[in-house]
Amino acid sequence: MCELWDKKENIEFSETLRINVYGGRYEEIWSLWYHTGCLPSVPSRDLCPAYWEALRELCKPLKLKKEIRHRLTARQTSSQAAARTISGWKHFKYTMSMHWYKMKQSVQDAFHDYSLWHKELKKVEGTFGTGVGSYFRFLRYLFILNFCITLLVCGFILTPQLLFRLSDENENLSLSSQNGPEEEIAFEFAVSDGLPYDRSLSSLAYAATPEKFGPIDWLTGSGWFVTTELYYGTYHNGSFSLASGQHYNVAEAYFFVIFLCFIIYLVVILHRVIVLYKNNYIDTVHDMPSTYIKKVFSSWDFSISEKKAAALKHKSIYNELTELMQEYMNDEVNEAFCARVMAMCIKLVFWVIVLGVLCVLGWFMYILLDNGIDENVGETTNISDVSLLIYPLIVTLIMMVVPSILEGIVRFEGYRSPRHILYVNLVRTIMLELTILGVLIGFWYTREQKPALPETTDSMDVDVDTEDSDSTHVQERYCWETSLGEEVYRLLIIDFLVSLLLIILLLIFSIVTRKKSLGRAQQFLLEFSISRNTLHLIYDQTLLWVGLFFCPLTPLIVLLKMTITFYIQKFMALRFLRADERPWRAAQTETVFFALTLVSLILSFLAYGFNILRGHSSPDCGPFQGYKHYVDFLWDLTENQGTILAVIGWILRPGVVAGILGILM
Amino acid sequence: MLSCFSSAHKRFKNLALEKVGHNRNAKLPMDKLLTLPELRANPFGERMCLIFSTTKDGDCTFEDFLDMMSVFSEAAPKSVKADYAFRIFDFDGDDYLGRRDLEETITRLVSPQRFSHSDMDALVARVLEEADLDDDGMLSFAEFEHVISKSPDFANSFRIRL
Repeated sequence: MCELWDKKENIEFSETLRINVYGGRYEEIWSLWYHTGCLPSVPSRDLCPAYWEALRELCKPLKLKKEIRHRLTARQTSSQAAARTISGWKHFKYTMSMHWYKMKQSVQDAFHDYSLWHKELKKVEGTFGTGVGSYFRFLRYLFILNFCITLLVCGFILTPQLLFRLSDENENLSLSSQNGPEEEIAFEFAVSDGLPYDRSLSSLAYAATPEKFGPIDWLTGSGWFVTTELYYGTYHNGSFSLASGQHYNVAEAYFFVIFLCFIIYLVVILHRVIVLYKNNYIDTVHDMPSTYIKKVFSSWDFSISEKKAAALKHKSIYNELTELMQEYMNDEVNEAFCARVMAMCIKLVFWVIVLGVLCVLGWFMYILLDNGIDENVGETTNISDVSLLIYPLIVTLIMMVVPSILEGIVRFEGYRSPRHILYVNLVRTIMLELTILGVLIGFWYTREQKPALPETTDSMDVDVDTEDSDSTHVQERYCWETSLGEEVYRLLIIDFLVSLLLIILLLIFSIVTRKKSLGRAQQFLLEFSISRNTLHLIYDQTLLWVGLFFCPLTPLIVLLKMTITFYIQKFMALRFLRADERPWRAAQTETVFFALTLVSLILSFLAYGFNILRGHSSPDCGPFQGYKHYVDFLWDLTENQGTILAVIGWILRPGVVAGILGILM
Repeated sequence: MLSCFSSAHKRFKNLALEKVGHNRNAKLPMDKLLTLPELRANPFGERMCLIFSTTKDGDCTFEDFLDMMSVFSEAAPKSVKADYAFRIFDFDGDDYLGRRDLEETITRLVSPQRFSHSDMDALVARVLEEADLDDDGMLSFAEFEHVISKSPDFANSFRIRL
């Protein structure tokens, strides 16, 4: 079979192998083969994973590679008798490393295969190219991540809480049927005391006044939902036991699982950002600019499979190349110093305007929230009311309209390259989103820190009056975490409904204008704007992170939202929308989007951390009742169990942190 | 990997069921291959078939097809992709990307649209200016690879997901 080889190929192959495989013996081995055509015996220890890598990187037809592999493994098995025997330990070690390598490869294959939505993604990518495809892949990535977190939360927090409620309700039903009205008063005493003992009754009492499920409850998340496990307030603050001897502490689980979820998100997204940055931001600054080469050789998207998309791509490449040549000719003209200063001033002015608008918006949001709450102060906050929807509606409208306005403004600012325009847009939209969410959290946080509210003062003094006045009793049962959770829920739901409405309108619009020719405004509407959609996705994900502590089921809600969004957007994109004709640098923009997600995540995590350390826990709802700060719970725990402190201390040692970071990269 | 393999085989088989069903080494003619979705809209589809076909006439067996898909897959190393990209763009097969090759590439890229002679000359001159290090008016493989592997978009665009 030596006719498969010709001289040139053989030399190249030995070169590759020599460079890639350890052990200089290979020079001899392959030169031997080249000269005699015979393969000397290759000891089994040398058939290591790096060997297969070298084979894979060889640029030869498949047939040749198969032949090589066949020869090597055949020789290996037939020459085993003649080969030097290796010691048992070495054999074991190398077998283990081969198995480990194979397992790693198969796990990587399975994991990267992502058979979820594979066909749909392929169809979209074939029609639109890698730009739109990268948006849908981002959506799928977040979906899978949220799915894992939902499983974690449901398994470790929700299910035990439900089991506890079921078992407790059965017990208490049998108890209360025997007791008279005196028990009920004692019942209420136990609630208002807020003392650590008799915990099992207090959270139940909070849920004891079951609200009827009103029709508007789906939208507002108040009313009946407040008494369910959707929010922080209903979670039990102690441990319970199902089987004899086994205790499950719901409060501990709540604390640690939420913390773990954040850590998982941080690690995964950080890892992804680092990998993408490594791959996509290879340093080109030191070398000569290579724009033309890149345009000519890497602009054709080989994954396009539809003629229409191909025609669009041809046009777009033609436009890009023409633009490049124009720029080249314009560059030769040196800009006057004054013109440059003017341009910079204009940009500065616009930035100041945008920042001013953001501040005004933030202040406006604060006023809105303040007024909304003051209306409800006299009544219980458990009643769901249409007025609760005003704030979410306004926020959603702002998030829909303002980014489009920003996009429109940026074109007048005189940025030269479309990439700069895109980045400026992204940064401004993210700032808008962070302003709104920051105002929301800040408002609730500062509000419940105010000393005027009865929760933070000594609860013993107020207890004497509780049996008499209903209204103060109700105020004491006021749970700020649940209210914040409700706000997040409302934001999510209203945002979803408004986007559905917009899509339906777009559908009608595109059906109506199908036959007619499109003007510029219509073109704008019917374009699949990748940046707008991705920013919307990041906004949803940030809402998830902000609300995770207060409403543990936010991952589930966002998961459902993402599924429905995926199918609807895919349907709309394939039938009605057109791709953006402007060029899209998919690789680097993907990195930028993940980096923005990471920034949002870090800020949310810092807010969560700050809340844990300094936030006041409500005295009679949720798993951390009775503690002034959430972090007191942790100190309490570590006092009882020295092991946890030891574990945390060990994890935070610099060596371990460096090791973890090294593995990640 | 196994699922990719079987889906690739399924696609190949469907092109010409009678031929491939019986014979594992059946060769399919180029025009049949160009009906595959991965190749039909591609201006370089013919070049791909020519390069990967072992008989160099554009007809591919299943192994050649698999070869093609493996080079375009996500897992293929950048050096392999650069090598095959060079071969695809080298229309006259002289191991160099000369003026004629570059002009042909650009023409195929913008296909219904056309550049004027002067524009085309200017473009080719820019490309050579950027990459031609030894000033011989042609791009050798080393020069090509040196530039192209720096481009992150190259790996992204030179990819077919099966």
